[in-house]
Amino acid sequence: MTCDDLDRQMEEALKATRPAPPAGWQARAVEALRATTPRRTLHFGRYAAVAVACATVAWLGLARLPELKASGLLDLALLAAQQAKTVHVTAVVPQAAGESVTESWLSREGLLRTEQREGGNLRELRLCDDTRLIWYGAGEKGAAAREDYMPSQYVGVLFSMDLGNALAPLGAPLHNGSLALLGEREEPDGQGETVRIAEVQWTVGEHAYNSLLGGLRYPPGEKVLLRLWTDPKKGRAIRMEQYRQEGGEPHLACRVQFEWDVQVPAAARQFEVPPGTEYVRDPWWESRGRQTLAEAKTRDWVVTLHALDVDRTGHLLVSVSRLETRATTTTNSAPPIWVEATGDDGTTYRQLPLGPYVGGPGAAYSVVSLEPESPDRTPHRVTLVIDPYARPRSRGETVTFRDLPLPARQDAVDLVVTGRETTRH
Amino acid sequence: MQREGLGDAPPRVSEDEALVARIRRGDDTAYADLCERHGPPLYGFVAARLGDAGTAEDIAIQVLAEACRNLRTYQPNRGTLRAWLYGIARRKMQGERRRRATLKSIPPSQRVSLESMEEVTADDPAGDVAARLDAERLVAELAAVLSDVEMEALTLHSVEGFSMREIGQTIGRSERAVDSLLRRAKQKARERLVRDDV
Repeated sequence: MTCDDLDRQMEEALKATRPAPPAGWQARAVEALRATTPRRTLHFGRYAAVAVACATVAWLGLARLPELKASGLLDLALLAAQQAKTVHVTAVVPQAAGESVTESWLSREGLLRTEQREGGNLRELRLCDDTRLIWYGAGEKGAAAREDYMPSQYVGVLFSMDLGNALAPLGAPLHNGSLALLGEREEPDGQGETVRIAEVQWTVGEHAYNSLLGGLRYPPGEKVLLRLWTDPKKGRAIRMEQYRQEGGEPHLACRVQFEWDVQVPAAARQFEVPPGTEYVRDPWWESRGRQTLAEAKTRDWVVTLHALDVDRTGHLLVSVSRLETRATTTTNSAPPIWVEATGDDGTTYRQLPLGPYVGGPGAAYSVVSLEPESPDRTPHRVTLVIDPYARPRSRGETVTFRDLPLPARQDAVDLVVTGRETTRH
Repeated sequence: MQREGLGDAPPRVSEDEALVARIRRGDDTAYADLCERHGPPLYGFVAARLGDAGTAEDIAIQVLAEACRNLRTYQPNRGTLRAWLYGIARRKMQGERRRRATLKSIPPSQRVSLESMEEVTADDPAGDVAARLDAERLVAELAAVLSDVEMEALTLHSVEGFSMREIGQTIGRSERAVDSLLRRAKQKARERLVRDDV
């Protein structure tokens, strides 16, 4: 056999073992790439480009649209929103039984509040302030609320994500779906100023996370007409209307009002629990979150080990959090924190799938529960290897906390509910 | 066995430059074109080297996403787009190999399940499977005697059709060094093939 024969054999084997990507991979890749675009807006160069674009718009009046499927006006609205400190969004959905009104207050200084009312009655609420994350829901079977611990830095990280949701579907082409500009014009606003109006056809994408506004969720593939009013000076969205095609005619599905950099009323930080609500609070979780046992940094994450506890059966409870050092996550999925534990006597632990968890992709606080290989083993010290972003295909960053002293077993099986406060209002 | 993307002519640089320009100016359709053009071979390169379809899926997406985020740093006069992309892929694969070294201590039952290569080969006709297994055995033999960089250079040259210059741009070596590397890799591989008569 000649060298050429051997080389050919090698080449054929290398080619034969190179697989093609599975079905759907390309669509997922495109989605991920589109999600990278907003981060580019944080770069100085992008701001400079926007400044130039703004100047051009001002000089030319209604500028020619750039070669984007989405209007340049929408891009400017998104960028202007990113610079806001607070926003107040009111979305109204006309219904047969009355209007459904969803009101959101967002502040970079640590406030996220969204509440939905139907016929004036509170149906859902999410309130996240300096330390609390309150969920409330009311249905036919009654009303319930739960209060969780949410450190303030996590609220700040979540601001951008919630802002994106509040502005949906302006960012549709950045995530999924598409926007096609139908027309753009200027009109007097009746108060001596002008507003810029864009009419856009939004084709809802396959993934629904960016298709929800005011409680409305549109099915994939539906074509929705958007009419957006923006402030020509600052580029910010002022008002939006969404129309669905029904019987060949467009019908108003949702109207949205935006207010930027307004004073957040004190009432937005308060929640008066409606009568009849069962209110649950777990002080144990918060008490652990306020401690810090150890902290370690990787390139992308700050990993904080808050506390270690051992329950009656020898299960190890690791209170741990992750915080992204810079915005690099490319998806809205929020994988769990993964912990590997080994005792000083060789005991290994298996992570249980469920545990209390708050947060999102870039920030999360969790109590990870680990089961020992044998309940009879009682190690005195433990070494933890923590993957803060534990998708099977994560960025490969782990931190190790070595030789940590283990506390004595506590006389309870479910430590998280220790001291649980349940109040009937 | 014919597979998607195999035997294609190397992409012309001018087309890549146009693609880069479209992404830079925010053309929404350019992402799909980037994925269609460079995604399959990039995925194949990573999957073949790591032997794990699930991880390869994610790494290939990460490579493309990182490239889009940092496109302003890409300089065509310093290398082709695909050489830049494969360079990013190499760094990510090195990180994955380090990660696997730490994962070895976790029992398989406790790991989050990883997709296996079987999913990719499940649709192969029966005859192809036997040929593929032979090819996999041969590639495993090569991987046993060649270093990571030698395997990568050999793959880029033989499968992806990279020039010496492009391989140099990808792995950060001069053309002359790449030439020596490839000669050495091929010689080692031939010796192994002849010795084991595989």
